Amino acid sequence: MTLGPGWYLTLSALLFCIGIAGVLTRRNALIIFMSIELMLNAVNLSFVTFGRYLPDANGQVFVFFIMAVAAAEVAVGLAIIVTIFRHKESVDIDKVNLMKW
Amino acid sequence: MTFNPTDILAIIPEIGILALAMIVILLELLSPRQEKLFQWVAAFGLIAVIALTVIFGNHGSAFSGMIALDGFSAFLIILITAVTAAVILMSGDYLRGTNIRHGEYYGMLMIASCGMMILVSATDLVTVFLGIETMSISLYVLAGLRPEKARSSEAALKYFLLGAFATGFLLYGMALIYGASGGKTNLAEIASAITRLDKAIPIHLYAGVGLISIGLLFKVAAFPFHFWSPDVYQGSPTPVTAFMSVAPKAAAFAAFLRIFGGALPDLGTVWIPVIWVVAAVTMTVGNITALAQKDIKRMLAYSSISHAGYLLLAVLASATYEVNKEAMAGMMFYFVAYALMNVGAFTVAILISRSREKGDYQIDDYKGLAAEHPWIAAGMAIFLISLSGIPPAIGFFGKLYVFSAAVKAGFVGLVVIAVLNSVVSVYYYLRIVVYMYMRPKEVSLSLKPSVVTLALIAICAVFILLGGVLPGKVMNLADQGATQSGLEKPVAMIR
Amino acid sequence: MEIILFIITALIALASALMVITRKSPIASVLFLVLTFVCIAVLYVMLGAQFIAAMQIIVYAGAIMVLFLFVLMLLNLRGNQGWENISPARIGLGFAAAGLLLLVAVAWLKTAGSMEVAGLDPEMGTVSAFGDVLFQRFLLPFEIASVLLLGAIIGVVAMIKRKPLAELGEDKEGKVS
Repeated sequence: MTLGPGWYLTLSALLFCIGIAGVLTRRNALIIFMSIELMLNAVNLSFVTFGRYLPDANGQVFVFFIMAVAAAEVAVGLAIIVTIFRHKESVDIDKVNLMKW
Repeated sequence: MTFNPTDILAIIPEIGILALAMIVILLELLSPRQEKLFQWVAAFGLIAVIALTVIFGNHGSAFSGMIALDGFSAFLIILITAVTAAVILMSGDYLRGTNIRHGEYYGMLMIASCGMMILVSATDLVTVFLGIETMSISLYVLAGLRPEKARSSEAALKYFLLGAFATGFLLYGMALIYGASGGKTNLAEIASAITRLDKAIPIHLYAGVGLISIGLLFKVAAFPFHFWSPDVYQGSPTPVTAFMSVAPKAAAFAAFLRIFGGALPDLGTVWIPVIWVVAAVTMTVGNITALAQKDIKRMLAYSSISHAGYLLLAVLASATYEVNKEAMAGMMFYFVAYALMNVGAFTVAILISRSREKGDYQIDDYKGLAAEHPWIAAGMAIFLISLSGIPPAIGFFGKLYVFSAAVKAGFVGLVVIAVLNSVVSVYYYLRIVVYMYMRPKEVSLSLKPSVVTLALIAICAVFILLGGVLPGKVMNLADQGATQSGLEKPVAMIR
Repeated sequence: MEIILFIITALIALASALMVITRKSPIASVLFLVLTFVCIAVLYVMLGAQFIAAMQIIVYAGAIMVLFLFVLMLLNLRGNQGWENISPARIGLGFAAAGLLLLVAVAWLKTAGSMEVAGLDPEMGTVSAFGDVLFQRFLLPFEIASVLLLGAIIGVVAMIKRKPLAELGEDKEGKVS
């Protein structure tokens, strides 16, 4: 058995699915947000794997941009969660009454 | 590959609007009380940006294929800038009743527009992604700009969590397309890589197309990813809602068209049936749910969902080479019409709600409006008639052009569904007209419209009627833009 | 040898990812997420992406996760934030959706496994090779990223910092957080 792209891509798909399951099952906004970060990391792993085995440098640069965006998103997202907490004393999205999705 | 200084000309509109955003934010630091000044600096600056776009509008591809300022993107950049200017003008009165800092608010609007400009001119997955994110992150903030109101924070949280979730799908789709096309991120290169694959298309390419469409359908609020939009529209500050219902939608649809019509026409057999169903369900769900709404912001939210359904017809048609240009031009025309009527309707809605005690947006408030304020009622009636697509107004021609492109591309069944939907939509739009003209008033509204507000309503109404009488003028411009645009000849035809 | 390292790292990553979404305490989730990120950084090194691996540790495991922890401390969450108020139907739905996607994923991975494999380009992941691509082909996206970060900075300030209430005159809402 040799280590090929399939191994990494499977791991990436698994991590992505765990992230989705986290978003859909949890009600704590912070944990949902962490699950989204997990999904983004799974994507990054796919990009780096494709970049390594093609081989092509663009994949790594794409990952770099995803990281920059994730950092900005975290800053904005946590600010939003803090403002919600000031109203509801909670970050449980079931207590946010409009949130019927 | 190295940097070519003339490439900067292709991002002149973006540079202009960013500089303007900085100027307005810094002006607020220097003289925080001059709120009218920021508004006018921003509005006139945006007119200058439009002028710059007209001058440099046909630069073509730049920055090693990352971005293209062609006729299509220049047209939409001008539209987005004009919408931003209109939203800034309608915001003045609204902001004075809140504790939002005007300069920062205008700055955020302009940074969001900058993201949309990047998105409409993006010809590479990286720029599409960064454009979408610049736009979305600014919009999350704009939705939550009134943290003292629970609704605004909730709207921001909902928009943010679902938006970030959708971004995950979009990115995974991009990763799979990147891998399957052999390391390509440029849209034209992806198209030719897919053609070279011919019949041996790997399954992960299909998965990538599916995931990317989930991400984009979310951004345009199409079924089944539309459920966020009524709550977000209702909870956001109303001028922001007006902005969100037009500009980001135009930008996301432009990206949709460039990706699906430009890069993936060869996979049409896979995605066309899916988007077909999505379009049909989107317009139906939007219209049926709009029938039951009592709040005008929610009603307009559902109406914008149904309009997204109509616009998906243009995306579908764009994959057929013969009508590609026509579909693009139809979509551009539709957005002009849609921007005029939505900006107008929201301006009236803000005006009405400001006279109410609680500042709410009940449709019942419109009862008997015509007796008290005949001109404002007339304006609102024009916007609603145009939204429903009844002939003399510009909205009719928007639908006509998009639907005829779709018929030529062979989507007759879907066009029938769309026309039936338009008929249903007449009911809820005209209900408000009936309220305004035929019902006795329940509460007296003491409206104090400012000159700017009245001018905005008048301009929108006049252009809707002019566009309805002379649709050819606008259509010529749109045609020109579509013809100039650098969309590659779909590879399926070259083969 | 390499394959054993991969399997160990991958198993730790998967296990800690599962812990992230099953822990009651958000703090435990954050710490397990850091562990997942570190494992992914190890995989990046194995894939020859040294620079990205460093960024993974610095940006993700460092900056982003510290920000999460900081907000958790700020909000001082306690009490019923766990599974108990989640209906089993929702858990079922979540795992069914994820499982369905996984099936699709496994289906295509069979084809991806047969992907043509080119040799490792040892230069590719180094900082200089990375910079070459970043500042030539991706010059414009790099600048756009700066616009995005600027927007995020202004946005957070605009959302948190308010005009003093006294300036308002008439405030219909009555209170400002």
